[in-house]
Amino acid sequence: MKKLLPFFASAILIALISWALSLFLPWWSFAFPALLIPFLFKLKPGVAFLSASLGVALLWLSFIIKADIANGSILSERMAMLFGLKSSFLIIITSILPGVVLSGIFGLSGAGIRRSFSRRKR
Amino acid sequence: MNRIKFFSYFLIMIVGCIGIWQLDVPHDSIPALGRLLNPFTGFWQNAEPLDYKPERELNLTGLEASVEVLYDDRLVPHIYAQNEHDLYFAQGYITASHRLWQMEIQTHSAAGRLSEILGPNLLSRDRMTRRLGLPYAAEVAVDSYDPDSPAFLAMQAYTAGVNEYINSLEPKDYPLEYKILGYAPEEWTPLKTALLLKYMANMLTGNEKDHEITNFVGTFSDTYLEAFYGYHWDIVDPIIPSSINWNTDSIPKMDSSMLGLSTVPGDPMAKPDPLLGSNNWAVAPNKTANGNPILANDPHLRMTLPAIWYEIHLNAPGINTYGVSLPGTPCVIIGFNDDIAWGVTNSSRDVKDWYKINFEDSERQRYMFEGEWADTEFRLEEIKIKGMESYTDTVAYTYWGPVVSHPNLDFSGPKDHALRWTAHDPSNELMTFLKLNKASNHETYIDAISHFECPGQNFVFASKDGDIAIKQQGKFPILRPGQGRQLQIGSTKTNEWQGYIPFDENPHVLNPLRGFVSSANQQPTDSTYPYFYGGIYEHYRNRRINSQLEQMDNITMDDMQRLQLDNFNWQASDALPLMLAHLSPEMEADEIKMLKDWNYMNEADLQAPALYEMWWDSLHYNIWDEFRAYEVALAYPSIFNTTEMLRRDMENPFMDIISTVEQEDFVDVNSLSFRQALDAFREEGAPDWGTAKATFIEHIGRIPAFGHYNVHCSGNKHIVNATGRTAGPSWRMVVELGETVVPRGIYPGGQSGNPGSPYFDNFIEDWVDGQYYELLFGSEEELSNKAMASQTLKPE
Repeated sequence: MKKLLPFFASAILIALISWALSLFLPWWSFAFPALLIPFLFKLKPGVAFLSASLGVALLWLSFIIKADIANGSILSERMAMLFGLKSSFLIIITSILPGVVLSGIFGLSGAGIRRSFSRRKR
Repeated sequence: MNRIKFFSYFLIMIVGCIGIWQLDVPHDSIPALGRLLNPFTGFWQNAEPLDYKPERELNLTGLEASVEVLYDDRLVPHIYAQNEHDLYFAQGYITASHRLWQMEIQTHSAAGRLSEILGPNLLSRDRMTRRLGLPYAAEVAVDSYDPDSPAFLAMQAYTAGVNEYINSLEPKDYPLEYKILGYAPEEWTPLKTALLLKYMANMLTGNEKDHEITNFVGTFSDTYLEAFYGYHWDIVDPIIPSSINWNTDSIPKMDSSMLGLSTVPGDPMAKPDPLLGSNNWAVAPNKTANGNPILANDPHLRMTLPAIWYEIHLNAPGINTYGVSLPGTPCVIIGFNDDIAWGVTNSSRDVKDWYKINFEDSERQRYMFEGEWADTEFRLEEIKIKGMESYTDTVAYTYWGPVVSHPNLDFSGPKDHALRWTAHDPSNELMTFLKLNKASNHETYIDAISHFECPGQNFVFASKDGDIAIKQQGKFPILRPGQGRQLQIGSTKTNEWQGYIPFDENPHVLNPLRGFVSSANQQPTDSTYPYFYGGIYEHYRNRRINSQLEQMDNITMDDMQRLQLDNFNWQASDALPLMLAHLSPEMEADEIKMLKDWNYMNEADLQAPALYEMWWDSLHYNIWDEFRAYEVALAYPSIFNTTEMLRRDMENPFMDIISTVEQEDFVDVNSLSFRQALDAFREEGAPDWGTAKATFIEHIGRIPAFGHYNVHCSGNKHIVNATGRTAGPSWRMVVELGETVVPRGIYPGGQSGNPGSPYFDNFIEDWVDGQYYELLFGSEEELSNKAMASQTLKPE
């Protein structure tokens, strides 16, 4: 359990900072916390990938699902059709993909760069 | 430090950056996915909550006083302003807040600027728009406006309102289509309003076949000219009843023998959808149950999402009007106020003539005119193209107007043919609506419509005083008999129009004895009207409407709605008995009995009309096979002319099927057509009419996911309920003018242009069912407890 704490803390921090940045920066501003938080938290690269992905996934999903429920899925069904997808569920998944994958990549590289500085232990 | 590790992770970060960049820019037809899909600025921002309510209070720069807006439960805005400037400012602001993308794309279309947004595929369309001189016409109109005229002031206030809305937008607020296509709204201008009016003029003045008829005469001689393209005056049921006497004093005697007709063939212009048309009528108090006049109107236009119309109620001191507006134009276009109601149908008059130009050489610097070389003027049309370099087209302007095409171009269109078109002349149609919105009686209605020049319209009118009237108004040329039907020689002024018919000699009738006035795109007059005119006219809807109104008494609003929804197929009642009687004896099928028993009603759930329409289409196609045997562009005789040919003279050489050795007659071509139609009908599983017709209501940007397809509708072209596959009753309105005004109406669409809004298409189902909404018309106090939301626009 203790090992999972940095993983979740980093994910939640990435989500919160990304949210704050999204208020005045473009859609890709999650890249900054996704890179920096795993760097500061000294996460393992694989863990950092998952943590950063999770953070952005949580943030984007919560906004999207809130909008979709309020909208009765009117728009998500139309956009799904526009993208040749069969359901609103699939357009929701498609929508978060750019954020989730890119965030993971930045998390991975942030953690990896930190690792490349540290001396090999033992 | 582990350098290899560092560089490999650094590289991964670069990959991430490239990923961002790639998703931040569009790729060919694929939009910038990162921008489009993210929840903060992408399409999810356009997902409007189901319980959406307009903002309670807005501070707007440019208002003089505060404006109250009530929205009813269909999102129709009821605007209460303290002066007219604020009224039109608010109309611009609110219309833009619901329909901005539509307003801009329609005016881009009229300006020949679609390539700029949609790419090189639209280039030839943009070139044609510019060669037709649409942007030129709009510029001429704007230049001619008197800056103090009320119409210009209204346009300026409206423009300021639209721009106030545009300026309030962040990219995340842009209408969805901007996000999908990846561009941003630009500033609105009065020129755009003028472009929109020219866009309507272009849609509604394509009633000519000059090139096709020229080619027909050149190919087949003029023996059948009257039968195939003539009017058959004996059965014309005109707008103005035949009993009217015309004042003929002012009409010059004209000689058509001087007309120089050109025989040079040319390809024709793209024609408007033949489904376009309209019905309107008004009944006098002595024919109605409540003793009040009732007015009805349903314009048949291309059905789109967002719809061409936007419903609105405008109120300020001196004005209280309700109806449908065109997004992009101030005022109500079709509607009513406290005293009168009005509606329009297209006049279908021919106001486009073509002249063959003889240029000196391929440089086209000079052309022969009145025995001398006259200088050509050139207008450079720079067309911006998305993702490519601009294309510059040089359009030659002559005495007559623009030369729409010339041989140097790989362009299918007329060759060196100049266009004389009334839409190119300065005019101020907006004045008509500004005044109609405030008109209170017959006199003020006539004054209002006297400003209307192009496209010619039949303005129907009814007033609380009990008057009913109809007038065909527009700027119509005085022609030599027969002039304008074919391509003319452009080197002499002899072929010029002989002036314009004075407006008070345009066909008009007030309170006719028969107790009703009506129009359905038919001839305005019988053949005794002293002026010659051309055009392409309706012959079935008008006869059905008039014969029904003739019989009716104690008329109620429900009766008028039923008439708008009437599905009687008069053409089938003329043609089908002949077709059934001329089937060869070996044709046997159970379906024949179904057709014999059919009551000629094109109801959506009947199979007989589906088979009949297939048979008719196949027959029409097979009879006119001769027309497909020539390289030149020809126009098939219309459904009406074909039907009359069958009724009057079915023994003619065109019955032959030219691809066979034998000589066929009507029985042969009719039986063959029946066999083909029956096979197709059975193959499609014997569909009912609604399924076979498969009406669709398309998104303006042709995005299939935003349209409605296979809408199950009754009616068809040439039927009072003129719901065809792509066009139909784009606004059905019935208004009773009693002590209080009782208005009803509906259009196939919704008030919001946002595909993510519950108000995007919420009227369609009721429209298909033939339902009408009770329109809320009253003072702010009367409506305030019925409103879904109220909003205050405050001057900043």
